[in-house]
Formats: sequence, structure tokens, C-alpha cells
Amino acid sequence: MKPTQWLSRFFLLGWFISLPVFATSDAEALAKRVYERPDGDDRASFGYMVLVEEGHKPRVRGMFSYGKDKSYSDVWSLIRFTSPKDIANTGLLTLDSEAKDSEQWVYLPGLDRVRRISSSRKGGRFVGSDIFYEDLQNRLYTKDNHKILGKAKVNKLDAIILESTPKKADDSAYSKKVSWIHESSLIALKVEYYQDGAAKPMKRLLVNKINKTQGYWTVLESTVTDLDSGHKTIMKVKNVLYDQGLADDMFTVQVLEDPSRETKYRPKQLEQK
Amino acid sequence: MPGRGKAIACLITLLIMNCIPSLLFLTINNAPEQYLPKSQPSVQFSDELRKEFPEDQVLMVLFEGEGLFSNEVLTKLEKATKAIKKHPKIDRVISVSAVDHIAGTADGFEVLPLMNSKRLRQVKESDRIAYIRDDRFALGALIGRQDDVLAMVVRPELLDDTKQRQEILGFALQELDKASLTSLITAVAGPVPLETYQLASMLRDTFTFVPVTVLLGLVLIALLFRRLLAVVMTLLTIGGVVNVTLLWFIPFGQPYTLISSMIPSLLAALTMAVLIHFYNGLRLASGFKLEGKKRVDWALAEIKKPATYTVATTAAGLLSLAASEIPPIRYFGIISALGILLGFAIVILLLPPIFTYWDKASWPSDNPLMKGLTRTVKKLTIIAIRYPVHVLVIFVIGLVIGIPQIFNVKAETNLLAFFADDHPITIATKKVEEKLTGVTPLEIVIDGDKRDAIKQLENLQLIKKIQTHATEMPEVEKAQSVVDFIEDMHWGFHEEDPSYRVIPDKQNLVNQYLLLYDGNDLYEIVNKEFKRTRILLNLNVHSSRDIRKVVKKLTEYLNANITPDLKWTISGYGKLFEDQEILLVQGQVNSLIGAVILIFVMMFLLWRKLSTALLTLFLNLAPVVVMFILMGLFSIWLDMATAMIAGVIVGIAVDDTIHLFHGFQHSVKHGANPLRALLKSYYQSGSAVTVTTIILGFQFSVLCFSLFQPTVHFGFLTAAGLITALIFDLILMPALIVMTFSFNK
Repeated sequence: MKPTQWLSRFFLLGWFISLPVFATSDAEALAKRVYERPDGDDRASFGYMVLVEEGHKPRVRGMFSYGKDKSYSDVWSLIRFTSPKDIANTGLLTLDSEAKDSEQWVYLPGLDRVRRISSSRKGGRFVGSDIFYEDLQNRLYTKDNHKILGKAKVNKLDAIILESTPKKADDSAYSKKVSWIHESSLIALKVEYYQDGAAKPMKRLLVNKINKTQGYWTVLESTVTDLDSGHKTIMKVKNVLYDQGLADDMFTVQVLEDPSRETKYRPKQLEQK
Repeated sequence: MPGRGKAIACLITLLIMNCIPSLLFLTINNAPEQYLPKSQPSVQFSDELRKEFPEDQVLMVLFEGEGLFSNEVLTKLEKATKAIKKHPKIDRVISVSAVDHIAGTADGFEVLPLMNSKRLRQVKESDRIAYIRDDRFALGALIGRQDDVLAMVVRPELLDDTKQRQEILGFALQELDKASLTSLITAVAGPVPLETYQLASMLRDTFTFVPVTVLLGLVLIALLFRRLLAVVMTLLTIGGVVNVTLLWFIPFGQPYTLISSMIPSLLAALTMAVLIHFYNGLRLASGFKLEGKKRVDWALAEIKKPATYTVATTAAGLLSLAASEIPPIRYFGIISALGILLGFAIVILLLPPIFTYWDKASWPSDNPLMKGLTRTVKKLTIIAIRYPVHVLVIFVIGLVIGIPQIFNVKAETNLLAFFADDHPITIATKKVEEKLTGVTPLEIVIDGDKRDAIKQLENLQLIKKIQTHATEMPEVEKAQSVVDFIEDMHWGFHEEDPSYRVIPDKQNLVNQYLLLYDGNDLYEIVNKEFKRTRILLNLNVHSSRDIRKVVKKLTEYLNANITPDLKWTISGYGKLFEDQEILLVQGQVNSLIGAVILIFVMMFLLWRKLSTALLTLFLNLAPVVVMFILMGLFSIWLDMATAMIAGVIVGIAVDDTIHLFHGFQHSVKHGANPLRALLKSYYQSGSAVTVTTIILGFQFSVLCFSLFQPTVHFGFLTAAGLITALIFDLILMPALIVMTFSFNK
């Protein structure tokens, strides 16, 4: 079975692991390796999403996230917000599959009901952050064409620059992505995102901190910056657990609307520093 | 020969001045921001607002025709929307393919483009009109309420000048043409095309009327003086003055605007006035058989003092406009004052050597036109001297009848009214308003006292109340607020049950909806802090007066209803436009007061007698009164274009008074009988001032043939003011002199 991707995807690694592969060229081979990067069969984490707007106090949201790889390209995930109080228990369930479009459901405790969210909203912003729904989905690398642009250093680490463009323009929110892939961990240390064929990127991901946990390279902190407005979304992982053996029924609408059913898999909540 | 060298040097200087294509160096910008000072609180607030929210000066394209909602047309529209968006200066293109649509489904909820290629597959062609109309954001903005029309809104980034607006307009139309949509376009309206049309009109007027007025002046000079050298020098002098003066916009850092576009005509006319006095001096000197340097010296001596004063008073009248807080008007005053001084300098310094060297022949004195004018002036003067009381009584009766008209003068600017009823922009705007909604944007900005204040249920209810109140106003065609998004989310989450299109009653649900909202449109109306929001209004009125009424009504309502923890401000294009009007009126008053004081001081310095200074001042204020009477009579508004005319008229009108009164006083001082002195002055200078006024009057009257209303009003009022001033100088002044001056001494 292919290594799982959920956690890395949620923490903004999934954007660059979904690069097309036609195993002949170096670029395609690299994209395939990134897609298949080992990250456990399942994972659970607690972390914070920090929204930063210049001149204002940051907004901090606490959340648990769970991920499981059902097959090579079928990946399930669940996010549960814990804070602030007014959004606590709001949840998002995503089932990605190669066969069909991703399926997403949201649970609003204020309404006490689950609703399906349109899966085609690739360019929609996830909970008002700079992360798009597409960034949360498991984009298969074969959907893109890849090209190696060269090598460079990011934060003193050696990286290969990989350009990925969608084969079908309308199945991605982006017209192009350029990723700086760390050679040994296969983590994209930097990604620049382009829209509508523009010459300049519209947002940038920078990985600030990576670490090996339970033998898997894990992104502990990353920042996505909207290059137009300067608005930033910082993702921080405080605690992560791999390979707990998350049950399949963790990723169902029933669990989504009943947070108590997931608590046994929750890693410890750690305060944000 | 030293005289020859000097003459050639002067001629070369004049030629160089003419070779400067000044307009090529100027920034041409008639953007609305030019008309308000940066220090204006509403401008500062607007600038602050634009850091968080997008521009409200947009371009609207209206589509009508067969198959508007077919796959083919909507696909083309989507393609064009994407193509136009690629322009780096375009912030957003809003069309049915690119506007967020909040929708509920049997088991879900979505925020997706209203009618992009995916929706086309989902919604049958026959259902599309109803489907699009059901979106409250699209209704009246992107789709008509009754007719089957579609619209596209192109919103630029904050643009620096009119040229960029022109570029945006051209680019959008070009892309629409590439998408084969041109045949469906029936209107292009909004502030962007309005401004570009203004620019086109003002440039067309500059390139049409300046040559025409100059040519007219040259013909009259040729007819009056019959001297080729005079005609050539007039052309070179005017060319030099206009070219060099326009260059002054560069060091002042000012663009060429609608206001400054009137400078070339004005300077051409004023320079010609100075030249006519000089040529008249040469003609008289030639009559005394003087030649060469002696002739020129005599002419200069004759006109130097009155011309210096007339130039100084004209410059003072124009400089009084520096009191206006509206930058284009202020710099119109300063730069045109510099221009008239330059014209005078050329006449005094550069022309004498040229005429000394090349003006050999004698000037014809048997000109029938000049003779006729002299006879008329003589007759009028004699009537005024014989019947001063009658003249005064007629003048007073005229004023009494006319003055009530002044109260009909409205301080009002309507940019659309600058164009004729059949102008494309007028027709397009009417069409957009008829089919969609009003195009004048106004916004009520609400600031909370802390983060997330706008999310609070009680504040949302208040915003809803304000929005509903605004919508009920007849001038407001459409109002949008953050409440619309929340209500639509609530509605979408309840399978589009209309009873849920309301604000939810639970605070946490509102917060969760807003957490989940994944589009961009919401943040164009509320900031991400949820501390500041806007209620966007589309008004169906365009004049500053009507906008002011709306602002007043809203102010009263907001004062009475808004809670103390919220602050409110009315802003937007409409508000800036209304503020501009207030400054315009203040500027007009300040300018008039300034002109009166400056001219009074100069008159006092010239005549050294208070009563005489007051008399001449009175004579020159009278044409301004007549100008306001005419404005009331012909329903000409006090607006951007007419605001500086009072200063201009006072400045120019005083010229004739100085020339005539100076001649009278000069003779009296040299021992002449006052009656004789009066007649001599009028016989000698009367025809010159009449000729000057006739030429200037003709030149300004030609502007009435413009298709652009500001040019027409400027031409008409200035010509009327000058002719009135001449009539007062020829008839009222001798009558007043007879009544106030002791003729028995």
C-alpha cells in the first residue's frame, strides 16, 4: 500500500505531492516520489491555525485533525475545531478518491446538522484562511505535467525546483505551482501558486519547521502568504500521532456530527507558545 | 547692425517657444480624485477605506439580444471575463460566471460561481433567467429586473490617471470583441467611461477651439490693422504663451484637466487683448508720422502703464482662484496668471525690437471698421454724458429686474449633464439605469468598537434596518450589506426555504456560517476583522444636489438610530462628489472676495483716491452680477466648469476700465477740462477697448459651438461678461463720472 498522505496534506504538504507522474522523466519521477512520501497509514494531530493580518491581533483556532489512507489514491480526513468557543466542535469531513470528485461534509453545532459542501469549490478559502479547499484535497500527481527548473537552497536546505501545471485547466484552482522539494525528506519547503496564467504568484507557502516523528518527516510549522493582501495563515502542529489504527468509521457523517466518538484518538492538546 | 541682431534674437526666441509641444509633456488626468484636496477629511477617509475595500469606480457593460442565456453566449462571457481579469490593472471582473452564488441543495450547501461552465450543464437554458434573478446580488446588478439583459462590471485597481482608465476601457472592449460579444453590447457606462469621454471631449475642444479662436482673432486683426507683421507676430506670441504656460503644470506637479483645458483659449484671448492695445498704439504713432524705434517707443509709452495695470489686475483676478481648495481650479488661477504675465513680457520685451526693425511702412488709418467703431463709441459717450441720470436709472431698473434670477443659480455638478442628451455616455447611463440599477455609488461605513463587532446579532439587525430604510428611499435602487451573505447562508443551509432568508437568532450559528464562508465577495463588504463594514448603495441620481439630499436623509436616520458603540461615515464616489460641490461654492466665494480685495488695492494704488477706486471696482463687479443673472436665467449651474468664471471676468473686465479711466485722469492731471478729458479718452481708447472686447467676445462665443457643456458655459458666460463690462464702461462709467466728478472746476 502506498504511504499515506493525510497529515502532510493537511499541513500543507499535499499541495505539492499531487504532481503528475509519467515515470519516464526525472520530473515525473520526482513528483511520484513526493506523492508517495512515507507519512504513516493514519495520523492524528492537534495544532493551531493562526490568521495574521497586518496591524491586527492574530486570530488563533485550535483543531484536531485525523487522516487515513484507504488506498493508493483514496484518502480520508476529518478536522474538528476546538477553539474559539463559538466555533468549537465545527467539523469538516473530506473523502478523496481517484474515481470521483472529493466529497466534503461540514457539521455546524449551531445548526446541529451536517451538510454536504460542493466538491468543485477548489478555489474556495478554507475557513477564511489562505488555504484553498483544493489544498486540502489529495490531488493525484498524474493530473499535472511536471518540469524540473533547477536547484536552489531554501532555509539552507538543498531543494529541486519542480513546476507543475494541470493537464486540464479547469480541474485546478491554480494554473501553475512551483515547488522547492527538499531532496532527502521529499517535503516541499516552498511552493508558489499561480492563478489564471498570471506571471506572478498569488500566494506562497513556506515551511518553517520540520521534524521526524515516529520515523516520519512531519511539517511542524508552515506559513501561507497571500502575496496580494499580505494576509498570512500559519499552521502549527503541536502534537502528532502516527499509525494509531484509526477505524474506518471515524470518517463518517455520524462521527462528524458527534464529536464524542472521535475523542479516544485525540492526541494531547498542547498550548500554543 | 545691433537692432537687427536683437530683432533676430527675439524672433528666434519666439519661434523656440512655439516649437515646444507642451501637451506631450503633460500628464493628462481628469480623474475625480484630482478635484479634492488630499487634506479633505472625506478624501482621507476614502483613502483609508480603499486599503481594505475595493474601488467603487467601475465600468459597466450591458448585453442585450438573442440567445443571451444560451450556452454559447454564456461560455463566451466566461471566456471574456477571464481574459479581461488578466489585465494587471484590473482588480476584478464581475459577471454571472465570476460572482459567488450561495445555494442550498437537498443535502448540502455550496458557494459557487453563479453561472459558469459547470452551472451551464446543471441549469436548463429556459430556467436560467429565473435562476440568476433569484440571486439577490445579481438581480439589478448583473441581470435586469424585467428585461432579459446581462451585465458585466469591470473593476480596476486604484488608477493613477485618466490614461489608465482609457486603457482599461479599450482593453475590456477589445477582449469582448475577441470573444465575439461586441454585437450584444448595447451600453458601456459608469465612472470609467464617463471620465474617458470627458477627456476625449476636453482634448477635442483644445485641438478644435484653440486654433479656431486664434484664427478668428488673426482674421480680425488683419481686418482692423491690415498689417501682415501684426498677424504673424500675434500667431507667434499666442503660440509661445500657450505652449510655455502649459509647461508650468510640470513643476507644479499638476495634470492637465477639464479645468486646465480652458487655459489655452483664455490665454489666446487675453494675449490678443494686450497685443491689440500695442498695435493700436503703433497705429496711432504711425498716424503721427513716427517710424521705427520712435514709433514703437511711443506706442509702448502710451500703453505701458495702463497695460501693466490691466495685466496685473487680470493676473490678480485669476490669482484669486488660488483661494479655491479644489486643486485644478487653484492651479488654473496660478498658471493662467503666470501665462498672462508671460504674454505681457513678450509684448513688452520681444516684440518691440522686431517691430522696430521690420515694421517700416505706415499703418493704415482709414480703416472703415475702426472708424465705424469710433463713431459708435463717441455717440454712446455723448448720450451717457448728456443723460447720466437716465443711464443710471435704466441700469438700476435692469439690476432690480435681474437680481432675483441670481437666487435661481444652483450650486450643482452633474457630470452626465456635461454631455448632450444624444451623447453615447448619456444614452448608455440611462439604459443601464433603466434596465439594471443606478450607477452612482454611495456607501455607509459602519465601524464597531472591537473585533467581531459586526458579527454581533444586535448590530446585524441594525445594519439590516439601515439597509431596508435605504432601499425604501426613491433615490436608492439597490443596497447590499453583510446581512445579505448571512441570510443567504442560512437560507442555503435550509434547502433554500424562503422563511430562512433571515438573520439567524443564534450568535454561534452566525459565527459558524461566517467561519465556513469560503468566497471572496464577503470581504469586499466587511473586513476580515469584522470591525468595519459597508452598506453599498446604488443611487439613480447623478447631480451633487440630489446626492446631497440622499446624504442628508441618511445622516438624519443614522443619527437617530445608530447605537453609541458603532460609528458611521457616509463615503464613496457620490459623497466625494458632493463634498467637491461644497468646496466649489466656498472656493467661488473666497475667489470673489480675493479678487475684489486685490483689485481694489490695485485700483487704489493706481488712482490714489478711495472714491475713484470704489467707482471702478463697482463697474467691474457689475458684470459679475450680470453673469450670475444670466446663469439664473439660462439655468446654468455653478459647477466645476463655471466656478472660475467670476474671477476670470473680474480680471479681464477691469482692463477696459483702466484704459478708459487712465486716459481721462491723465488728461485732467495735465490741466484738461474734465469734459474734454473724458471725451478725448473715449475717442482715443474707446475704439481700442471695443475692438478688444469684440475680438475676445467672438473668441469666447466660438466655444459655444462645442458639444461639451463645460466649454459652452465657459465661452458663453465669459463672452457675456466681457460684453457687459464693455457696455458698462462705455455708458455707465461716463455717466457716473459726470455725476460724481466736479465738472464745474
